[in-house]
Amino acid sequence: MFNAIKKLRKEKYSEWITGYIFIAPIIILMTVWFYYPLINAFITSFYDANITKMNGMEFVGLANYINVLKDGEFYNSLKISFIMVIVAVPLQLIVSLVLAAVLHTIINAKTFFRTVYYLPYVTSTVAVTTIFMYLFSQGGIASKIFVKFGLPDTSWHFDVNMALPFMIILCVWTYVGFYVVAYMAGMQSIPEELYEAGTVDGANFIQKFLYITVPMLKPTTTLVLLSGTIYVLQFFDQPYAMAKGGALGSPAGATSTAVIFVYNQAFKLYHIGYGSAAAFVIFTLILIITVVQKFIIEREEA
Amino acid sequence: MNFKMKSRILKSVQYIFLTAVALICIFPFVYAVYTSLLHKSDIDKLVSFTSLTLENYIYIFTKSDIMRWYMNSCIVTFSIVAGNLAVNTLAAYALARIRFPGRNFFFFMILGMMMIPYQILIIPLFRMEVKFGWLNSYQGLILPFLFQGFLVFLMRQFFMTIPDALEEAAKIDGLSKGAAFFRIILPLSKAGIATQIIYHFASTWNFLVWGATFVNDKNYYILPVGLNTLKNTYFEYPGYTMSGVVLMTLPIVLIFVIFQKYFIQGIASSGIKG
Repeated sequence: MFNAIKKLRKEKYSEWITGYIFIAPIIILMTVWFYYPLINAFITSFYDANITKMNGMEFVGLANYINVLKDGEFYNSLKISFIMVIVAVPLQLIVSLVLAAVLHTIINAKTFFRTVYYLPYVTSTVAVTTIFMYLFSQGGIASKIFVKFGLPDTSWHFDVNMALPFMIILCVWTYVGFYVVAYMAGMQSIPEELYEAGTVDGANFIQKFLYITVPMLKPTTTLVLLSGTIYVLQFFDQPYAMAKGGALGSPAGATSTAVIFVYNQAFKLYHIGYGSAAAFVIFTLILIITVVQKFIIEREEA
Repeated sequence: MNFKMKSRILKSVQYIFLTAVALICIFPFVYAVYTSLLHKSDIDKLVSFTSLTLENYIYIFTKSDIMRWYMNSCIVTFSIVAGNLAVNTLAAYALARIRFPGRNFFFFMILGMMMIPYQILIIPLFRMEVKFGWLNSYQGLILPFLFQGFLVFLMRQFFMTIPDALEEAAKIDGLSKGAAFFRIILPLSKAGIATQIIYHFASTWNFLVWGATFVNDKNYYILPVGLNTLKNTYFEYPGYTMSGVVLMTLPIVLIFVIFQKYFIQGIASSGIKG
């Protein structure tokens, strides 16, 4: 009897030890390479710190945060990021939802189309941006098409007015396939009987889409909205590649997304304290937007 | 009859629509491949198949360090993917199936990482790399990136779908938790592991920020950084740039087309990437 309890206890402890051994690598790595730098960045944001003289940090309290909130360039980059969210995210959502709905109803070549749509998403952002820079160059194939719609024949990545639309096109083209797949996964869980009932009631293709598919896909739409917003607010690679080695955010700050602003502060102007403060302001905004979006969607559901 | 006609028209409209979108998705790739095969004087022209040439590729192979960048990208990508596979899978199993004090706390620590955008870490990680003297090194591009909260989460979900009974049986047979994991659970987890590899391979292969920030020595460029400088140098020569684009994109496109099932499973099973 006593031995049995002892054995049980021994088993329990050996399970504990196994657990700690299994989880130890990630805990160590995560502490060193994630939580330590995170706290470090937070502390730095209260200092006047310069990357060239790491040891001469001066505590300035909330000054960096106050200055960031007064910085016109910071607002400009926020504006660019928010325009992207407001235009690109709904566009992605509608295009991918419609595509997924059509794709869901067909029988032949489903996998083929899905693979093709997803392809842009797995391709390197630098490679994609490079190709698009040529397509949208002065006299380029895409530019020529848009000229027919009254737009100027110009190199979009180089033009103050066209650089932002260019980024939005890049963004939508890259991510739509990802959301198509997400929506298709969501559609698989809609019971077929709903559509049969719809048919009995005489609903057509579009009515079924509006009154069955769309409402049933709310959870996926929530995810698409949230993750799409976060992706767009973190937009970095494309403007980085578009700068062609010149000043990030060029031309004239037209592609200076929120993240490019932080990057410029740190690695061009060497203001790491200021840059860190800006990064935390952006993080807070992302958090607020996420919470608000979630709240609105959930309230609508109730 | 009328109904049949109608549904046939609807079907054609659907396929025309899907094909049109597919063309928009594929066209830039076709353009890149085609341009990469053009002679300098043929740029932006439509030429016959016989006028295509491989001279751009030969130029890029001989005049740029692309082979070196390929090697760097392979070293970095394989190390990161392999390291992640071990670290994330072990952690996921502990969180899914092993009971020990503090498990929930660790789980929240790991989930918490998914909430924080990586941009916040650019500055402090750069400073750590400077302090360690790791700029322009492989370890500087590998060691900070051996874990992924999202992949732990994905794998934990996967382990939870494996029936408890298997481990119960292993326990009766006298196997410890650790032994049961390696001998019974792991061989059953091929699909989850494949999803992790494929998923992470694409994002690591394409990732730009760290390679651009931690490296300024051409010998340690990874492909995205190398391609970016290639584009900046040769922008006036689309043939060269596009052959670089094709060389960088080809491996990932091939892998994706072969393993696309797993890519898609990854999204479907997890909802969405965090």
